[in-house]
Amino acid sequence: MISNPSELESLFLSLGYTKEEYTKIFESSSLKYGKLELIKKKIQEMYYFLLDYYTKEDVLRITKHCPTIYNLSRENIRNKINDLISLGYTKEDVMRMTRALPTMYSYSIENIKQKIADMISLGYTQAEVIKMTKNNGIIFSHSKDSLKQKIFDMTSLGYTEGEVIKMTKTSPIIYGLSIENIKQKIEDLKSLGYTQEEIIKMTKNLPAIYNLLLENIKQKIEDMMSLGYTKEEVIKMTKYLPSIYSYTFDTLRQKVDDLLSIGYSKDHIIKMTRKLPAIYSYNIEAMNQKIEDMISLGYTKEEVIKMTIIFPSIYSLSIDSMRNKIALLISLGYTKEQVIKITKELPTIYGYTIESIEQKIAFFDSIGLHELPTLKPIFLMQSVALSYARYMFYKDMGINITKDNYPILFICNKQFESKYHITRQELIEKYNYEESLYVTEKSKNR
Amino acid sequence: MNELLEKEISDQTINTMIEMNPNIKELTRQEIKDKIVLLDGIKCSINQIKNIIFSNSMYFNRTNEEIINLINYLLEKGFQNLNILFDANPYILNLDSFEIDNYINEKIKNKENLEDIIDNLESNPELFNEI
Repeated sequence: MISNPSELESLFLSLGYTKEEYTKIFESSSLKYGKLELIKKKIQEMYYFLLDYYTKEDVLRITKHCPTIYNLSRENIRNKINDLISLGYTKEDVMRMTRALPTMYSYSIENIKQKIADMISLGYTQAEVIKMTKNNGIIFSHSKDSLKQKIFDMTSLGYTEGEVIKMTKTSPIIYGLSIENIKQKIEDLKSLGYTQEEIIKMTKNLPAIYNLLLENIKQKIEDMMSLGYTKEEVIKMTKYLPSIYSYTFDTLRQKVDDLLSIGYSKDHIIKMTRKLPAIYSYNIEAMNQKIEDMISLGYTKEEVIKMTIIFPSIYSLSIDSMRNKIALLISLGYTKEQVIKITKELPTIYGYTIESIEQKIAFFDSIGLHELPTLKPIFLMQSVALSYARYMFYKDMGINITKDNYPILFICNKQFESKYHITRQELIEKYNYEESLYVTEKSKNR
Repeated sequence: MNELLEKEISDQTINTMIEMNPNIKELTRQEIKDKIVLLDGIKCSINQIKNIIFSNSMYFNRTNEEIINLINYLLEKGFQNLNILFDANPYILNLDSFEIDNYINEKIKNKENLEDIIDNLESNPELFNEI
């Protein structure tokens, strides 16, 4: 034991430690053994050596958490840093990791390699382990069994093992949360109006939700409500875009301002983002570019604004997809001008499948109404099963559908039923479109 | 059902589906089947199911519970032939009952009667796009 610990205490106090911190370090390291002068020299050398890598506050914190650093040689520390760099970390990563987990300096390189191998055996690649641990070195403090237990606990909540691995890749901090903590967070979210299934889905997309405080989530809901949404709408929107919870209020407000600058009204912005919350994740330059691209297709800016209010998903479609849809309609016998008219009035057609468009147009072609989509594009929406049944019904009654009377194919159901005394169900059962297709196909094959 | 899953879809349709909902790349076979079963339950034909799910890939973002709640709500309100309705406007499946309820209540406030509102929505499925 050293003979004069008070001299050592003075040294520690001069370096910036408190008396209590000194006592803790003294008790938990081997500093009490050996010659005082040598110990003082060793401490000073290590302290100033560490200052080459860290700030004074960090050095104090790291050595308080891992006093055994004072037992190590400078060579030892240097080698540890180089060993970690050889595994794939940068020097900055090592500094960050050791700041978060100072006890890393007490792990042998074999120990760290083994921990990496353990994680690889759980389903991560080496590169993923490096990425996960460089910001969360604390993961190295967990044993393989404790990581396995966390994965198992998470599967009991409704995730698959693969999903847990995926979630922890982006949010490794999950390994630091207790299962009770996670269960409590699920209960908190349920109290806001989400179901367990929705919470599992949301957290699969944004595992970081587990790090958010209930108060912060509630505040974000209030913020969204102040923009003009109801609470129910916010809950629905965040199911599809949970990252809304990670945006600052200023970011959300800025997006609203950006959309106003494009030419949308506040009501339209609320309506569009309710339908497609992902708009909050789009950048304004890309949206402006989409408008420019659509103008180059033949629309005016006002028309694009109108179309995207009805069908905001246009913003998620590539211009190539839109060009292909236009080309398809042209190939079905319409002019470019007609196609622009059809899509302006029925923008959702950009989401329809080629097969569905072809089928509907083939039906109208077959009854001699090729021009119908250009006369009233909205009629393209009606289910072909209903259009067919009504057409056949009229035909049986001796009514021929022509360009002059085609709107009777699309009259209100109530009006149709009271006039012809047949329910829609009876109608589509009597004139079954699917069966007619089958019969046509069969006769073709004969 | 299996036949539908195995059915060839054009690359263009797949691309559009992914553009509209990139999450579908992560779907399991079971998740797709579950969504198809729900449509099958309201008597959608194979063609109607294809049209609905390929035109509205956002449908796959909905939980089964949400879809069941929506279907029950529409039936309670008096909508019939939901297969015809969803085939005409697959995007209805992205709505929640409270949203349709808000729309209906607004109309009722304007002295329209429920039966006419429902008939109008059923006969003009594009009106759901206003919700």
